[in-house]
Amino acid sequence: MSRFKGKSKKAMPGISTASLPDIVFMLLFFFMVATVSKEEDPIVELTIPNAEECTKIEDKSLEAIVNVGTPIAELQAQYGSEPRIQLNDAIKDLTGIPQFIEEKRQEIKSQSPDPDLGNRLSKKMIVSLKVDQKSKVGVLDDIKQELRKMNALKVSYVVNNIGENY
Amino acid sequence: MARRSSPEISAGSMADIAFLLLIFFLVTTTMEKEAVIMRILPEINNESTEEVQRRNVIDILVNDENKILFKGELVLMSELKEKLMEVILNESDRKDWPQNIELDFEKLQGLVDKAKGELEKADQYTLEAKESNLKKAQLRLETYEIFGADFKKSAHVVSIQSTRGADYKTYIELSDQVLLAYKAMKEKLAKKRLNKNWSELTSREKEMLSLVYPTNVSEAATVKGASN
Repeated sequence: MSRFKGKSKKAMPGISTASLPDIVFMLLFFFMVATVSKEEDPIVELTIPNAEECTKIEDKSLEAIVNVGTPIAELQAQYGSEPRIQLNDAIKDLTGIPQFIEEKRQEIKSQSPDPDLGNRLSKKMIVSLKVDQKSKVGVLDDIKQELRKMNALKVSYVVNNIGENY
Repeated sequence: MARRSSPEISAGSMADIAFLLLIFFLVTTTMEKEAVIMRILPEINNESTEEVQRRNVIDILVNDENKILFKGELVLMSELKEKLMEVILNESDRKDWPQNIELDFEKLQGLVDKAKGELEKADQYTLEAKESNLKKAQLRLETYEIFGADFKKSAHVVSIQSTRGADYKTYIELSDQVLLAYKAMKEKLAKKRLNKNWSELTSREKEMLSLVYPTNVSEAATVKGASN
């Protein structure tokens, strides 16, 4: 018993914080690798429709995002209150789509040092359509027609997953 | 100039800097992936090349008032799934509903043998493609062994069309119902042949079920040919 007593009299040594930066850096690197930065803020109103049976896009770098909806309140004076197309961070007409697709293809190609692989990757591009649920199908039809002209045939409709699993 | 040993830099604030960066990345991170409905658009210039028999096309149309026409008759969104399943499966073998083509073991075995032969001849550029071909053929054969007569090739195409004035919300709801119909068919078959619920299936079994009921949805299937 006396042995224990003797020990408890000693002062508690402070826990060394020297390895704290290491731990934090480890976490930091994890998040840096796992991060996909948020895309630019939408400048159109976007309420995404619900769906139960959906899939997910595995590789976000192959995704080209097109937003469709009524412009936000501050921009309505300039662009009106009809649903419009947002490409990158500006409101564009249908005529802006070919250039947007072409730019995105180049961007995907430049990700890979091997031009052959880059070409193949750019063919896998998916155009993600984020469309406000109050929009009419007509707007979407026009966009799809433009995409078909550009031979960008893989599209996806972004939805709100309300199903239990993927 | 007296030489002084340079004082050590305190590493105490290192943690603070790292924390700051960490918090920045935490905030900008979007970990969860977006849910999407995938669709392949038809090519613009082959409108006349792909001919689908009239009986094999399942038309679904949404009009300006968001009413749904399923094979020309007005249906409710809630009825759509069941009706679509009935028509795709076509168990009563109706002549005006999509055709089911029976498969046989010899034919599937033949395809595997053919894929094997091609793989042996493949050079380094085509190797990958030939390998995946063989895998597909083998999977198909295995599927046939498990699902037997339930594994038929359905010639159907679900054609989702919409007028310009229809709501996007309805259009997506409709697309969703179509996909749910496929899932329900797979679930039914899994229950029947494997006696398993969806969540108990392995990914390979799911792959096989997708072979039995491949999703065949078209944005605009062109209807040609009068044969009924």
